[in-house]
Parts: sequence; structure tokens; C-alpha cells
Amino acid sequence: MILKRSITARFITALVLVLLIGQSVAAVATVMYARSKLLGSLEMRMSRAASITAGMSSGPLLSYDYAPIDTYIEEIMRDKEITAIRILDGQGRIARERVRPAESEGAGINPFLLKKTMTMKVPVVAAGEKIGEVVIDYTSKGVNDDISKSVVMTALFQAIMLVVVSVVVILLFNRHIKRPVSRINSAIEKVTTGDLTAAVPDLGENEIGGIAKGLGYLLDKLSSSISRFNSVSNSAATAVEQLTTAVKNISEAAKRQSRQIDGVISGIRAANDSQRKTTENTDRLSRVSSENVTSLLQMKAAAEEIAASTGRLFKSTGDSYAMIAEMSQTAKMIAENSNEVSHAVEDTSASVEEITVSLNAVRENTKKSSELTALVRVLLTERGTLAVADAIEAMERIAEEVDSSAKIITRLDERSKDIEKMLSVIKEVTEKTNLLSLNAAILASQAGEYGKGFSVVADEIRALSDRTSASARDIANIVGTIQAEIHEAVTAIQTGVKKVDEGKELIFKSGEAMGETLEAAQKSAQMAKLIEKATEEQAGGLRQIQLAMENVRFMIEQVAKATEEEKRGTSHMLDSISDVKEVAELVKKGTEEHAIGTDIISKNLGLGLDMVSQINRSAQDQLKVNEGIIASVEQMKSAGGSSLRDMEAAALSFNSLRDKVEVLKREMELFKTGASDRSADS
Amino acid sequence: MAQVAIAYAGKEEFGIDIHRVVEILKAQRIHSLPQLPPFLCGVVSVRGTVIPLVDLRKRFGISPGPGKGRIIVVRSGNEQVGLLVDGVKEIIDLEPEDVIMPPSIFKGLKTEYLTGIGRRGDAIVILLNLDTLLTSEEKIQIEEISRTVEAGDDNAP
Repeated sequence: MILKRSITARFITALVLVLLIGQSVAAVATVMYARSKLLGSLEMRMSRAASITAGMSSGPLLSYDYAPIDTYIEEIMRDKEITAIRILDGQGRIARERVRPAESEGAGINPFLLKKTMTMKVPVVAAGEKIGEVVIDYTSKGVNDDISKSVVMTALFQAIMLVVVSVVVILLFNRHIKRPVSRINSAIEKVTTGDLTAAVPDLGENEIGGIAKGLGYLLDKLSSSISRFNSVSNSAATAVEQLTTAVKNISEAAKRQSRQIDGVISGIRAANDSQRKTTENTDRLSRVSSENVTSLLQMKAAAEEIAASTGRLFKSTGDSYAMIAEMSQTAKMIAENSNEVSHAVEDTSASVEEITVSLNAVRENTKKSSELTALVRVLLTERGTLAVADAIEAMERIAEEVDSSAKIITRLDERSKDIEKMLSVIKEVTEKTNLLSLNAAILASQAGEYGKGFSVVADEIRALSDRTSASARDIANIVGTIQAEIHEAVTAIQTGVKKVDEGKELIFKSGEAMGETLEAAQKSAQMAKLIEKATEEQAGGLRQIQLAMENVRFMIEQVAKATEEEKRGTSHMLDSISDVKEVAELVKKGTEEHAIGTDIISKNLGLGLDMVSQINRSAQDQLKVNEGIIASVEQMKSAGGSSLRDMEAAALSFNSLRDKVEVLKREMELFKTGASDRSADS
Repeated sequence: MAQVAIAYAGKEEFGIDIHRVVEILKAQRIHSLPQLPPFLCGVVSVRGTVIPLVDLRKRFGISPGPGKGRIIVVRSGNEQVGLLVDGVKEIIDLEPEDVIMPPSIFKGLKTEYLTGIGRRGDAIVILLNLDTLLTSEEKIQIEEISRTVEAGDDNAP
């Protein structure tokens, strides 16, 4: 039993006081009543005795014969209350008297302030005249004793009653009121420490039982609300964690994307360089081919000179032949002719040498252009195609990254929708908690004294629900911001995807252009080979001409010798001259073939020049395409950069969101519910 | 010193003695019964018990405000009656010196519906008299309806 401020103590004290006071009052009243009654009856008895005595005394007083009255007086004195009885005569003298010997006084109880001795006087009347008086002295001792006894009895009885009634009432009180209330109290104390799993006992169908039921109902609702809240806030915390990780992943992906874009840009720049080199080489090729053409034209001019010289030769030979008859006269003329022939041969030789030199130059140039073409091919095959392949690969990787970014964003979107769902749950829980706190406050007020502790709980709950709803509003704002940022990121990613596709197209076009360039280079190589072959044939033809020239010179010498030795014989001269004719024919044929060969070379060179200018044009286009690619890629990079910034802003929002959720979670953990143990790790 | 629950309908605030309040619920699905008297706007089912519903806003001619509304279940005589309001704000203590008796006509309501006017800061709270809120015939009608519904529940399988 708690003694200090408990109901029991106060109740018991009050009860005992009330009983005590009541019983005292009752006792006093009873005693007073008894006293008055006893006194009254005593008085009555005394007066009757006195009256009778008075009546009986009139005779004796008159006749001075007190014998009959003595007996009566003896009888009367038997009454213990009477201490003395005196009969007085008319003069006041004592006629007869009886006095009881005083007993040991003893401290008689006289709590009632009764006069110790009282006197009853009754006049003796005879014939209407007072002839004496009867005086009876009586004590109230008997009455006192009786009263005392009765007081003691009453007090004893009332004490017993007091004790019995108190005990019974206390027991009943304990059983029906104090125990249930203290059970409720202990449950409430557990609740104030935050333990909402406190079990509320079933206390029957009375008012206290009603309070207990109400309490149990409230605790259940509160407990379930808070544990739901706990799990929701745990899920919210987890979702925020996931969001933060997702944002981190996206940031890293964007950074990777940026780096890859850099790789692509450098690859494209390398391709650009190869392109420029290709252009330079084709320019050189072009120049070389022009030089070839010039050489060929020179060759053609020389060949025509040869033809002209051969014609002259023929003519001179014809003249010589016609003049054989007049040889003797015209030996000098022959000699002159031979000189002319000699000159012509020398000229032809010189021309042939020029032609050979030109041919060599051509061959050199052709070799050079072959080498250049091979180089171009190598460049294109190795560096160009590789660069394009790298670029395509990089593009595809970027596309994958963008895809995965898009997927992450979609998940982000779903997460934020989850958060919205959770928010609405939280709002619902908050409303219900608010309602709950109102009902709790009502029940608390209805319970009055007993409910003071509980109304504190109710106030706390209401404050909690206010804070929760404020937090839920904040979270809703944050989620709205996040969603807006997600949409921006989605738009940025979509732009990025478009740019990647454009980049891919450009790269493909670039690849095609390179392929064309490669083809053109190969054709150019083939052309160079043909030119080489023709030049070889040309050289072969020229060598024949040279040999023929040598022969001619030799012949001329023979002629000269013959002219000096013309006396030897005309037939020798004729033979010589006919030999010369044959040789001239050979020369003519050779020159014609030479001319054909030169024409072929010319045509091929022309084709080669066309090829070269085509290559040039392709290379120029290629350069433009590469510039375009670089520009697009730069744009992609900046787009990626802004996405990255958006992601980082979103990450900051997530962090503040996570902090808010943590705060809420900690508040919730102050309350221990049955579910909290189970969901502590969720 | 009385404790009252402050409910609001439209722009007015009403005070209801807490000791007559059983509980406060969120507004929920209102079922209507055939031949309901006009002052009842339906019944609601609360944990198995059927409670008739009085729309406090219609009763005092106030147009309903935004929000879903709340139902305050009060004891009137032996029966329980639900009062439909816009919402419940809080529970306050009113000292006797804050309660004044109203003039006989106050804001268009007859004062037999009020037990007094409470002052709460600068605002005025109309303290409802739950006993006179429903006339005696209306109370009898509510009793009959509750009995009929319970009898119907007993008969239902």
C-alpha cells in the first residue's frame, strides 16, 4: 500500500474520521438521552417517594407517632440512591431522619457534571396547610454508574463496530477500486516511458472497466499507428538511401560518358589529321601527275620531231637514190647529204635521249605516285578505318551508358512515385493520430483525477501528429522538386540520346567517305601500275629506236667511207643506200608505235588526274564531316555536363530529405511498440 | 470549471461539454434509412453500433466548409447521437468567468440551444445545450429508430 498521496490513505483517513465523528456524535447523543431519561426517572421516583412519604407523614406529624412511618422510611431507604430522608415539622426541626452511612467515596465517575447530591423537598399538607416538609437527599451516583457503564459499553461496542466497518469498507475499497486503478496506473506509467505494448487488464463491466477498455483501445490504435509510421519511415529512409545511391551512380555514369566523349573527340581529331595528310598526299599526287603529263607532251613533241627527222631522212635517201646515177658529179652532194643525214641522226639521237630522260622521269614519278598511293591506302586502312571503328564503338558505348542512365532515371521516377504513395499513407496516419489524440483527451478529461497522466500522453500525441504532418508536407515539397529535376534529367538524357544517334550517323557517313577514298586510292594505284607498264614498253620501244639510230650512224659512216671510196663502186653505194632505206622504214614503224604508246600514256595520265581530283574532293568532304562530328560531340559533352550538375543538385535534395526522415525516425523510436522489435532491421 | 471540446462548422466555433462526448470519428459512409425524419441526415455504423446522425451545419443554417468533416458522438438521454461538423480543433478548460449568458437573440439562433457564450482569447465559442438541441419529439423519434434498427439487426442473419 502506498501511503503518501494515495487514494487509499485519504479514503481510509476520511472514512475513519467520518465514522469516528459520527459514532462519537451518536454516542454522545445516546448518552445525553440516557442521562436525561435516567435523571428524569430518578427524579420521578424521588418525587413519588417524597410525595407518598409526605402523604403518609401528615398523620404522624400531627400525632407525633412516627411508628408507622418508620417502617415505610426503612422501605424507602432501600433505594440505594437515597442518601438521607428527613421529615421536618412546621418549624423546620427535624422530626424524623434517616441517613445512609457514606460509603467509600471513591473517585466516582462524574463525567456528566451531575450534582453529587440533590434534594427533593415536598411539603406535608394537612387540611390545606403546610405542617412540615419531607426532604429526600439523593445522589446521582447510581445514575452516574449506569451512565458510565453504558458509556463504556457503548464506546466498546462502537469501537468494535468502527474497526469492523472500517476493515470491511477498506477491503471492499481495495478490491473493487484501488487494485483496478493501480493496475491501470501501472499500465499508464509504462506508456509514459514510451512503451506502447503495456497490457491493459480486463477489469469487468463497470466504470473502471470502461476506462480500462478505452485505454486499451487507444493504446492499440496508437501502437499500430506508430508501428506503421515506423515501417513507413524505415521504407522512406531505405528509399532515400537507394535514391542517393542511384544519383551517385548516375553522376559517375555521366562522368564516364564525358570521358568517353573526350576519347571520341580525340579519335575524330586523329581521323581529321589522317584526312589532312591524305589531302596533302593527293595534292602531291596531282602535281606529280601534272608533271607526268608535261613530260609526255614533251615526249610527243620529241616524237613528232623524230617523225619529221625521219621524213627528212627518207627524203634525203630518196634524193640520194635518184642521184646515184650522177654519182661522180655529186659525190660532194652525197657527202653533203650524208652530213645532213648525220645531223638529222644526231638530232634524232638527242631527241631520243631527251625522250629516254623524260621516260625515266615519268617512271620515277610513277613510282613516287605508287608509293604515295600505297601510303594513302595504309593511312586510310590503318588509321582512318580504325579511327572510324573506334568512334563507332565509342558511340555505341555512349548509347549503352545513356540507356542505362535512362533506366536508372526511370527507376528514380518509380521510386519517387513510391515515396508519393508512402507520403499519402503518412498523411492518413497523421490524420488518424490527430483524431486519436482528441479522443484520448476526451477520455482523459472524463476520467477526471485519474486521467491527468493520460492527458499528458494525449497532448504529446497531438504535438507529434502536428510535427509529422509538417514533415510530411516538407517531404511532399522535396519529392515535387525531385520529380521536377528527374524530368529535367530525362529531357537532357533524351537530348543526349538524339545527339548520340546523330553522331553515329555522321560516323557512318565518315566511314563510307573513307571507303570511297580507299577505293579511289586503289584505283589510282592500279592506274600507276598501268602507267609503269606503258612506260616500260615505251622504254623498250625507245631502246629499239636508239639501236636503230646507232645502226644508222654506223651506216652513215659507212656511206662516208664509201663516198671517199666512191671509186670503188656504185653497187656498194646502192647497197648501202637500200640498207638505209630499210632502216628508215624501221624507224618510221618504231616512231608510229611510239606515238601510240605515248597516246595511251597520256590517256591513262588523264584518268589518273581525274582520280586524284576525286580523292581530293572526298578528302575535303571528309574534313567537313569530321568538323561536324566534333561539333556534335562537343554539344553532347556540354549536355552531359549539365545533366551531371542536375544530378548533383538532386543528390543534395536527397541528402536533406534523408536527414528529415532520420529526424522523424528518431522521434518515432522514442515510442516502443510491439512491432518495433520486429521491424527494427527493416 | 468546465472542459469543452471546440468543434467548428463554417466560420463558427461550438463548444461541447466533454463529459457528454463519447468519441470523435472521421466522417465516414452515411447510410440513409427509409422514412427518416428531416432533422436526421442518416445513420453511421460505429464498431457494430448504429448511431443516428444530425447534421449540425444544416441545423444552424451554415453552409458546409471544405474538408471531410468529423462526427462527434454524444450521449443524449439514454441514446447516442452523432453530430456532423467540419472539424474538431482542441479541448480547452473554461473558467466560469469566461462564460456569459447570451442576449436572447444571438446571431440568429434562439438561445434555448445554448448554455452560454464562452470567450477564448478574442474568439467566441457557442456552448451548445445538448438537451435542447433536439426537441422531445425528435428524441422519441431517435429512440424509435434506434430500437427498430437494433431489432432489425437481431433479425438479420
